[in-house]
Amino acid sequence: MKKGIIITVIFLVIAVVLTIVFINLFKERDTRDLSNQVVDAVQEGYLNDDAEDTESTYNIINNYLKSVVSSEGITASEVNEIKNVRKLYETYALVADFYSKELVFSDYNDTYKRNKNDAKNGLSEASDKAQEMVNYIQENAEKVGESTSWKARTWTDLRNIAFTFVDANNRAFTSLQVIFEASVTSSLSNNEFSNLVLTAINDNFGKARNEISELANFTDNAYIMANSYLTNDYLRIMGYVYNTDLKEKVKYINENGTENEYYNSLLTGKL
Amino acid sequence: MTERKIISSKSKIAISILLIFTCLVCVLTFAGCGALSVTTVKESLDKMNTELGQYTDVLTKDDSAHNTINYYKVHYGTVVDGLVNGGAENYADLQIYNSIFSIAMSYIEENHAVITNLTDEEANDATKNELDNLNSNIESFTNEIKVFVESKKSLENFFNEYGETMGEADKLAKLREFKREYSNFVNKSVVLASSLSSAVNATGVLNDIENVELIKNFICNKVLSVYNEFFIVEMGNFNWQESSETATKTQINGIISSLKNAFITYLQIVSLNDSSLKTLTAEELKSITNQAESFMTEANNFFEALQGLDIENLAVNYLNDIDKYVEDNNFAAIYLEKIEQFVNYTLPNYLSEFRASIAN
Repeated sequence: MKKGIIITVIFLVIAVVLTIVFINLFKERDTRDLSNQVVDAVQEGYLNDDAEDTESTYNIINNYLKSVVSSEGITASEVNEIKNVRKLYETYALVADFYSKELVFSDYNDTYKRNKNDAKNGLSEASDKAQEMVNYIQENAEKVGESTSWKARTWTDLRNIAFTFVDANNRAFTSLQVIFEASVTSSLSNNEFSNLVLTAINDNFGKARNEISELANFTDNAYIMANSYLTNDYLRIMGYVYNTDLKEKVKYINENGTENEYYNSLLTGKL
Repeated sequence: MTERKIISSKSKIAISILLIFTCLVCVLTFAGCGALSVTTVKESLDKMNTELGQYTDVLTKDDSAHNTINYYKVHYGTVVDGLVNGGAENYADLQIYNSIFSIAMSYIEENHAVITNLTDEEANDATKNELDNLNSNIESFTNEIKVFVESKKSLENFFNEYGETMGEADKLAKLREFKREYSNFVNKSVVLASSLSSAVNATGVLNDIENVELIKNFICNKVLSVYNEFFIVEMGNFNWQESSETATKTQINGIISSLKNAFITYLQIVSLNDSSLKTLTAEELKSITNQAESFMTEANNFFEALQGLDIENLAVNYLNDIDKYVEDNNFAAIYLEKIEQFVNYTLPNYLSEFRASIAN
């Protein structure tokens, strides 16, 4: 009886070990999960910036920010905060659109695996915060719509949610860049130039957050770069592999840092 | 005493089952280890050529030097030949099918000697590993020859007998039926050419900068898969021209038009012969190889996008409405953009770059 139990236990242990080994060997390395989340956010979620979709999260928040910035009683630093948040949100939508087109064609690897959850969690938190803002705006629609002095006070309620929204997006986009560079297989869309652009954009996201109450160029820089290099089929990024002149400039920046005319051209969308 | 014997029997049964299972696993694991010989591949190729030789009235071979594009001219009978050569809508596509088939067959006939001239002792391990797949594809293609010829004869007989009396809808239905079989036949020839090119590459002969024409043919054969995947595999099994007219259809027609233009450039490169090709340096060969590898990465994304979009599904089940399609396939619009990007930008740029690298 005892021998029988021991033999049965041994077989069970072998079966369990083999099952675990085979599952890990043949487990699908799936990049769809993150791609789905980015694509959903861009097509229907908080990063959908389609102007015709007036009831979208993006347009509700954007319209609110546009109107609250000129409210009576709003301070100069609050004006800066609102403008910066608005510009950052516009830029997130452009960059996310670029990622949504490319992450679909990526390879699963260790870097992807290590950074995937940070990206997903950042996007989820940003989406939640966006929804919180929408809920507040809709619940306070009368106050937001009519009295401009009351409108200014709504910013006091919303600003911390907005800052958390920015933090979550910044975290997500930092991880998305890491994943993009390590996993996207196309050298036409993932090359030294695209990496330089995405790094510069993320740097400016970070600096903008640190000086969110100041009148600085960081949000404008980020927006201009995203609009110049990542939209309209991103032909300049695609053309990098054929453009010897651009390759020289990117190489110069990578070797000499950011205090030079080429980097300034990058920031102004003219590289 | 009896109780101990029963327990012991059960243990023996369990151990026996485990041993049988282990032996089975070993046998199955080692079953695939015996590699095919070059001799077997040669024999299979001979059978293929014998089979092709029986149908020269349907598959006319043009042996004139370097006539790659019309290497095999498929004849469809007087009526359909007239419609194809005259560029009639729905029929003109058969010329593309014929060109793709010819290029694949030309590649096979010009390059098989790289393998068949080897002895089994000369073939390295990498080459031997490719032989099984190569042989299997030769057999698969050979088996398809007669099926295709009979389908062609059925088409010809139909048009001869009913061409004057049948309505256009019935003629197109017959043509579609033939195109499905023709697509299958062409696809098998391309798959065969592709497996041959893998075997050729495995021999290491493409690392020799003297073999410029071999290198050019190898890369052209890789690029052929782009046209095969789109025109044959993706579009070959349904009637795209009759599908719903929408903005999405216009967009895809634009893609088809760009791909046909790129095909003309591609055919020019395929037609380059030895005297038109540069003498390469080792550095130039490396650059050409790197370009080709990058291009094939882009092409793989293109294939993934084609498969993901599934144009037949879009046309038949969603009536070419991409917005409706996206509700069930949320990557559909992204796939369509990637296809457009590849055809409008990546492919023509690569062909220009490749031509500049290889031609005088």
